[in-house]
Amino acid sequence: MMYSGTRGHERALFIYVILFFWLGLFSLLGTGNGTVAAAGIKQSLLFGGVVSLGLITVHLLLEKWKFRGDQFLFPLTSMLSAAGLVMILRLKPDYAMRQFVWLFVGLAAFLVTVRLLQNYKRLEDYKYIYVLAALILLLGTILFGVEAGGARSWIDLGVARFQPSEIVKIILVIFLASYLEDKKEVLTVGTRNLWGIPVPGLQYVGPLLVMWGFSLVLLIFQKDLGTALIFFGTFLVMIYISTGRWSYVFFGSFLFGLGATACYFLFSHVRVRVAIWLNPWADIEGRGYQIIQSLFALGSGGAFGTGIGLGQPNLIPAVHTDFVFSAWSEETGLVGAIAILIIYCFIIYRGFRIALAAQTGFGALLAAGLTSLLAVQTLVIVGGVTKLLPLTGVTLPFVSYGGSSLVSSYIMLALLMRISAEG
Amino acid sequence: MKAILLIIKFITLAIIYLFILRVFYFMVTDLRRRGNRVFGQAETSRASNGAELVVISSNDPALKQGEVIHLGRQTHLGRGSHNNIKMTSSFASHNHARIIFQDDGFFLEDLNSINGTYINGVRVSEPVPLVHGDTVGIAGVTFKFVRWEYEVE
Repeated sequence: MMYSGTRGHERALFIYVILFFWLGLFSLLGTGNGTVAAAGIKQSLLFGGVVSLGLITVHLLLEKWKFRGDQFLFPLTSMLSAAGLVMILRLKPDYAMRQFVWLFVGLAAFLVTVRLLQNYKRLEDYKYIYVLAALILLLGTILFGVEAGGARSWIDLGVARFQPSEIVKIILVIFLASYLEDKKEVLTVGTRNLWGIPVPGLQYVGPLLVMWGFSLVLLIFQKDLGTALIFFGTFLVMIYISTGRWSYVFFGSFLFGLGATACYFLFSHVRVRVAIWLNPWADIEGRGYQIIQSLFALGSGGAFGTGIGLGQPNLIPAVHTDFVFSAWSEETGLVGAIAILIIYCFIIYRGFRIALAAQTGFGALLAAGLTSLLAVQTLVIVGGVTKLLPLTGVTLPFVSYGGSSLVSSYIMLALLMRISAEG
Repeated sequence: MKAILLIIKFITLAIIYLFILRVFYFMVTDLRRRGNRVFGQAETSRASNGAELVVISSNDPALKQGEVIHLGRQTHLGRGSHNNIKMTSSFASHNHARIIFQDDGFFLEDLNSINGTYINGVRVSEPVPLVHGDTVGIAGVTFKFVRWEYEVE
């Protein structure tokens, strides 16, 4: 029978995702590494089967609902998630089951968002509720948070740990999209010239300062450098997209630089990060150990990698969350690393395409904001583990171990696809 | 065993790249398909004379609501791949209808389609001149005919 659905591209691309996932599993079975071998063949086949079925079910549901959104994003992110699962199985077998459950929570959140959010434009109406929600979540984290890996950004819920900043990210983008759409004209018009450089008047800098303060609060109280950087980066991209003015970007970067410099002198952990970035070799056995192991992993992968399950990425501390990209690069080599980056580029390209085709200004800003959030986050962590930027612990979207991150990434995906369905 | 793992390694990498190539190919065809249609009115309204079809409602996945299609000298509609406006609905005929520009006007002509072409709900049997605001119904898709010179912003 001829295929007559509306999501042909998605279906065609899915074949590769499933094939890749099974090959990864077989490779792990063959090497006798990780849980796959420990848990026995039967269980790993079951595991693979359930994941493949889960992904296919999502595709079939989208088709059944005659969903008209983008057909590239879901196969692309599934590919990343499949790579992530294979890596978790290989790196931290004990965590694989949890990640597996989180993936299904993420997929469920994705489906619920796609299904229930029939009209994303209504999100525009509740801007100040978002600010309130974001503040409550952040304050809650600062007051009741638990510290892990030097950052206090988790709330312990008993069953699982939850990272509010992941949800705050999405709320913030929705808020900024509706706020900027509202105040676009005001923000674009008022500028004065200062030595030939257009400088926005003081009343227009207000939101910039608030956002700056917000990021700094995160930085100071949660010691979460990465998230602060992502928030502020996304904010600058969005304000540039809505006003088309470079002055905001320059001024914002200048402010951020100022804040970062102040933090450098005020906080020892920031100084340590920068020192490690500049010269990790000075303290190979201590603070520089992690990044140096990451560099060794990248180097020993060579062009084609050691093969999945055959490298030694477990030498890197925290390899399953922040350093999953290094582990992937060690085992699939430069070729595999570039493939992952191309997939991110495709996702970002589709995101901006959706933004361009969106019918309303709010939709365009929201899509662009979510996409740049993903882009900045990927840049920060990939740059971090390759020592291009000072390392700040954030997750690699869709790949890293981490429940909150995976679920929030899938919600972002659902929002993007919703916007594309209208555009 | 080592040889098998080596083979698996290269097949895995090959699969990822085949995936990437396939995505790339689909994206390019998607761009090409959309490139044939003019999007938005900002670019098109500058022309002094011309017309477009706006999709008002559609059961056809190939045509989204709100989509704007610029009309040239000849615009063919139908299921065949040579058409300017490609439809996928099984109610559309291979060569369903065409819109031609002649003597300063646009004419809609049904090309002996099975399920017919409708202007404002009336089935067309011979070439009919289109007037600004007419609705054109083909196989579950309703277009609105817009001529820029009459359009009021």
